[in-house]
Amino acid sequence: MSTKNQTHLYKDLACPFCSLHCDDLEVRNSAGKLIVEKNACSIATSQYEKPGILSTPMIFGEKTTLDKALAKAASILKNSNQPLFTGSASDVNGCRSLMALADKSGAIVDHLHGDSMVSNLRILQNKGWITTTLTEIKNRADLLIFIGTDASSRYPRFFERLVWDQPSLAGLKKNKRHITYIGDDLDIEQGKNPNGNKPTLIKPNRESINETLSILRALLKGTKIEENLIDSQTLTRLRKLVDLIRAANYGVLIWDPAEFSSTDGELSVQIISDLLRELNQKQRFAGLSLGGSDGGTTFNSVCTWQSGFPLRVNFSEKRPVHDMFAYSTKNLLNRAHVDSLLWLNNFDTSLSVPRTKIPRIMISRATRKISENIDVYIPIATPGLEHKGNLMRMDGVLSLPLRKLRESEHLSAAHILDKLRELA
Amino acid sequence: MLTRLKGGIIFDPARGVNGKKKDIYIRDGKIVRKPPAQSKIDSTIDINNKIVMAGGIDINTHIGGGKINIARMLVPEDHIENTDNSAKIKRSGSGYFTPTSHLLLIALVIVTQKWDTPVVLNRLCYRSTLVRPIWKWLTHRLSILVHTAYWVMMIFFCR
Repeated sequence: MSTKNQTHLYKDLACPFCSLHCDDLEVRNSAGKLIVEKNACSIATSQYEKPGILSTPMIFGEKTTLDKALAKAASILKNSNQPLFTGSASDVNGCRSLMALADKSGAIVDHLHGDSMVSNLRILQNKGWITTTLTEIKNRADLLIFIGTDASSRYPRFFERLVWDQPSLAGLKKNKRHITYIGDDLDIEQGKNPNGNKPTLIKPNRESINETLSILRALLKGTKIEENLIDSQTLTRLRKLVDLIRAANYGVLIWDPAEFSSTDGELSVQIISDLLRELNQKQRFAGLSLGGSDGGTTFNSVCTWQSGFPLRVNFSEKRPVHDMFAYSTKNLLNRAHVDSLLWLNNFDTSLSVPRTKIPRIMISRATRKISENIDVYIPIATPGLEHKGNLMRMDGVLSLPLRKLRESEHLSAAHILDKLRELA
Repeated sequence: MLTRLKGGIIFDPARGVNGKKKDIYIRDGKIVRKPPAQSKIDSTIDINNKIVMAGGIDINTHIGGGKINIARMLVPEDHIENTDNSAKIKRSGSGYFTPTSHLLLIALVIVTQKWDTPVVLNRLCYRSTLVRPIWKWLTHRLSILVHTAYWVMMIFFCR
């Protein structure tokens, strides 16, 4: 159905621009220009309303045809001993095509948010955890503890959709919900209950968040805490939190691995995983990890069901080899373990291709300015705006269908990668 | 109303079509031959690289669903110990208890081929009501044998 010269209002849209994937958006297509009408946050509005740029493929900054660009990209991959595919920010079909190409070219696959996702994945592999879904939180959670994150900064509609929204099942009254934040530099505005109740904030003083969490764990076990171990105000607040936790019917621990430090993040996730296990001995508690935007959850899922491993995987030996540390983009580029790079990015054009001297193929949402140092640039259409697709939600249990709102001259990521695979 | 399904990969064992990329035309709910060049196509559906086959096959899989993926992530050792190299007809993959989907296309080909064998054998059968049940018994067993041999060949010789 052509929508080029008409005005059409689309309702109940799933938004692709963060892993919450709110599905109640209303967007109008006015002669090819998209205007958000209802239910979009600031991130969604800025991304939907970006003008649809018509861009052409380029080789070293010079305009060229798609066939020539694909031929050049294919030759880069053929002549490469160890390609690296990163960014990997796309919808399900884009990720599937990327994985097929990686299998054929013997590439390593990583994702733009690989470093933070690995903190979670290591703990899942080594210890396991207990997690919940967005709907369970909405319907049941009477105590939400945000650890190291406020959720609303990166997911502006989190509270509107899940916390203060009217629950639909289980009869939980929203004025019974307690919100607690543990962390530094958090925006707690949205944690304020519409009935006026303020959220609790436990701000670690000198302690790291891991020390604070460990003390909380010790208090829950009834261990005696030495006076000088922690700031007395923090200790009082933690004791109050212990009472809240014990009284909770369905508690949730919420974290975002991207907001933990890169060195200690894995330890934070481990403490949370252990806390959940201990709490579930006598009551019901579950975890929710935020993150997975820019197709992170999607890519991790596709990589797992097709290779058997989550990030990061190397296909150069004609079989999947998994190593979360050796195959990080940062490590590979710093140590010159790769000799070509393919960057796939369907969503946020403010992100740039990693700086490196090896040949770079950039398959990305159309932008105006392309550096002449990029070997090959191929613009692609955006899923959820210019073609249909699917994206997995942050809780990993379902995918949201994306719709086509306007025409585009560009092909989808899946199309381009499939064509490249035929040549490579 | 003429509809064109564009770019699909077709499997039609009854006609010996085995993975051919071809367009399909549908007029008023029935599949028809390719119409003359000047015909007006009312709707084109892009099914580039998607697999096309006759219906009647209920696909309810747990290939990429959340739960089985969590299971895969929980046992990396199962996948490290059981990796499968890529070959001409298949991608690489891994896993014994929670395998990946790399063999899916082969399974599909086997499913379509399996039902082909007894059809072909039965074309040669007698009309006699006495011999027919014996022939049916024989061809059924033969088709299982052919099917198993095919499966074994695919897994062990196509690495």
